Amino acid sequence: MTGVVAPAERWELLKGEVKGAAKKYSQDRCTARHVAEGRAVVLAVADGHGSAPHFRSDLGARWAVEEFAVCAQEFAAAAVRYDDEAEQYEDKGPWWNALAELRAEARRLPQLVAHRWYERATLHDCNSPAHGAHRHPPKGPDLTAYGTTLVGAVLTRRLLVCWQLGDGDVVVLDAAGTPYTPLYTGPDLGDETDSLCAPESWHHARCHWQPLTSEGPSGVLLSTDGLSKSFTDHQGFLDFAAGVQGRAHELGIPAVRGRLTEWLSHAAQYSGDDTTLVGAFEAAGPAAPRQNDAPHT
Amino acid sequence: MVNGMLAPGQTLVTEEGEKVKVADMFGSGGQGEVYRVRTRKGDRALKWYYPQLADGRQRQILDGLIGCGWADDRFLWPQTVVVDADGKLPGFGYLMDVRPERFHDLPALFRRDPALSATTQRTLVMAALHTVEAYRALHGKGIAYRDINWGNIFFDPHTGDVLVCDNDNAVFEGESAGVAGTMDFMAPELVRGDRGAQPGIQSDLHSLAVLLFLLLMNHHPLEGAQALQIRCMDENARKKLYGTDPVFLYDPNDNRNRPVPEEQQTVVATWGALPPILQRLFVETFTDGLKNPVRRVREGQWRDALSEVLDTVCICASCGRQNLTEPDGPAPTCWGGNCGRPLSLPPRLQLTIGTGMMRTKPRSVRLGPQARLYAHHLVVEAERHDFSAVVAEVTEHPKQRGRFGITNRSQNPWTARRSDGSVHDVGPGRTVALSTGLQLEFGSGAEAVVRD
Repeated sequence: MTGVVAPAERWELLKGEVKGAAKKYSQDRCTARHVAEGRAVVLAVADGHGSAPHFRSDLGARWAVEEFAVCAQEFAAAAVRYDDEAEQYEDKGPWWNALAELRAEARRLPQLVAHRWYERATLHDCNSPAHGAHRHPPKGPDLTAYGTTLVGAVLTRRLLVCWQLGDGDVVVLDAAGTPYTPLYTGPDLGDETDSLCAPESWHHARCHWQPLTSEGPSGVLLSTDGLSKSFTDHQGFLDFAAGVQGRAHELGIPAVRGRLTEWLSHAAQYSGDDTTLVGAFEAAGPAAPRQNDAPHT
Repeated sequence: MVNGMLAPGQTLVTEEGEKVKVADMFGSGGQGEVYRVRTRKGDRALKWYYPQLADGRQRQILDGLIGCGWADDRFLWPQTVVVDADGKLPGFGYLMDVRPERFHDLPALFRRDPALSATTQRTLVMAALHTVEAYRALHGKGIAYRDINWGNIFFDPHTGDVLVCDNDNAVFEGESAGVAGTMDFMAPELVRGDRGAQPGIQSDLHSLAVLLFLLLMNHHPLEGAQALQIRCMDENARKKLYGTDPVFLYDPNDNRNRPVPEEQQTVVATWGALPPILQRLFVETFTDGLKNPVRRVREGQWRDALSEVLDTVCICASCGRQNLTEPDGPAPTCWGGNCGRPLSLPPRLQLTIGTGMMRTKPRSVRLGPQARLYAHHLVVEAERHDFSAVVAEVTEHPKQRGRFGITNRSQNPWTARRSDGSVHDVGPGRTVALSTGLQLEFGSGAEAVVRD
């Protein structure tokens, strides 16, 4: 029970994004990358709100993903460093002892991201005021135009941490491929969502903290709500997530990469929204592709 | 399902030989994973330590805590050690009660979770008071908690009751043990690693003050402008912020770390609404107390101040919002963002209790509608505040709206002396009309007078 799972470099990454049917351009942004010299994975999706008051939300979503990636990369590097120290001295004690401090860092991360996002949005608004002229409300600038959600994750061989501010989904597939949604809070009852543009938005971020003490996850998927909304129920969405992994095992990740846009486009027809999905799957041997292999769309 | 160290259905055994069956995982923490387990006595929570944290020292700490047999409803105290009977699974854990659903964590408060919508200024102060008394009780037994932080305290938004979890790092003062908490809650001398500095009751006082500030101000007391200037919050940055150069947000002599209003509105608003009696304590503990551990505010000081503030919570007649006011102080303006009108303070009951050398200085209880006196008001140095033990209550005349009296909810008769000199007995369940100058004798030297 040492909790060693697939090294991060053995994680294969997936990224797909499609524009909502009736939209001029997508306000979603995403990233999926190996960091810490390939020993950790950072995933993020952001969904710019898109409606008229949030007319710069594509920028907000881009900055959210970029700033999350910077902070998450530092977090991942710290986690890998603690892991290295434990490995170097052949004593796992330092790793387990470091978890309390890493957990505190994980809780602090949304505040760092929100601050960095705030600085970029404020600078942009100063240079190009969203409402045509500079206003100086006492409680700070109005950044509604840049409003966006953010969902992110860091995966190392010993740790999975996910964060979520606003709507969107995190699906973790356990070692057997069974999906679970650690940050799911029930079906959305409207279009209102928490947003990075809200004052002290980091308070609204939720965090899933999971040291990998046993078999680690076989896959982690992050998506904007355009995907989950395209299914009639939550189970349908979970089936899709499990299906993507099934196809990845069956066809190989390169083949899935090639088909992902098609699958997302099919799903997005139902929600009409921008639809973005990133994921990391434990590497597996490829198999020959088939036709009509879209997973439960 | 989250895969953890234990599998659902797995059977373990307590030290007493009772079998427990793993049901599902509640979650993971900094030291271990917590599971729901089925026992003969019903469901319990099992904390199972990460590998190599389940060492001899931790076992010794647990044995000591379990040996205490402390049954205090404010703590999820370790009850018994659990191991794998077959010895196939190394390590151990311990059983505790399952946290009742009415208790919520502080992040839920910060994100204004709808489940906490019942939270008021009064219940927050009550939660702070209960927190202080819980740690006071722990410290009174010579036990240092050593890991006070926002993940270990839960509160009931309706009653202000608190529940302290993760008590397995507590040790008797002077004993050494590994965990000293996380940096943001650690006393500066521990963050710096000063020679001879050990986590204990004195460092708990710093962590407790941080927790109280978070609870009441919804912000960390050392994370102002300086924290926002840090681009990479690595270990060195954290050491500086919390250890080598900690600066309180409202240090009167050092303004380097003031909150940035555009980004940290909440603390600006909550600090502005905090009565000076509490502001002074925070300033004291986060200025002098940062440099000199013996200058930290002690639990008794917090308790007295919070208790006094609780007695002077007033409702704004314009917007209905609860406001904290300075005991015996002037009327502040309502802190409601869209209100800001001056509060109209109700009359106060000036209360003096005890006899001889134990006679206390007068304290005030604002007599707003539904104000109450509790048993702790009539006892010198009450061990804890019990808000179910009501002894008196302000009530409105059933037929004459706007006319108030004070009703005897105790089992003992009082004596009331009106300003015209007339004297009456007020038996249990009886009410005496409130008027300026009314004097009440509650017995055992407890006396009060109504003042404007």
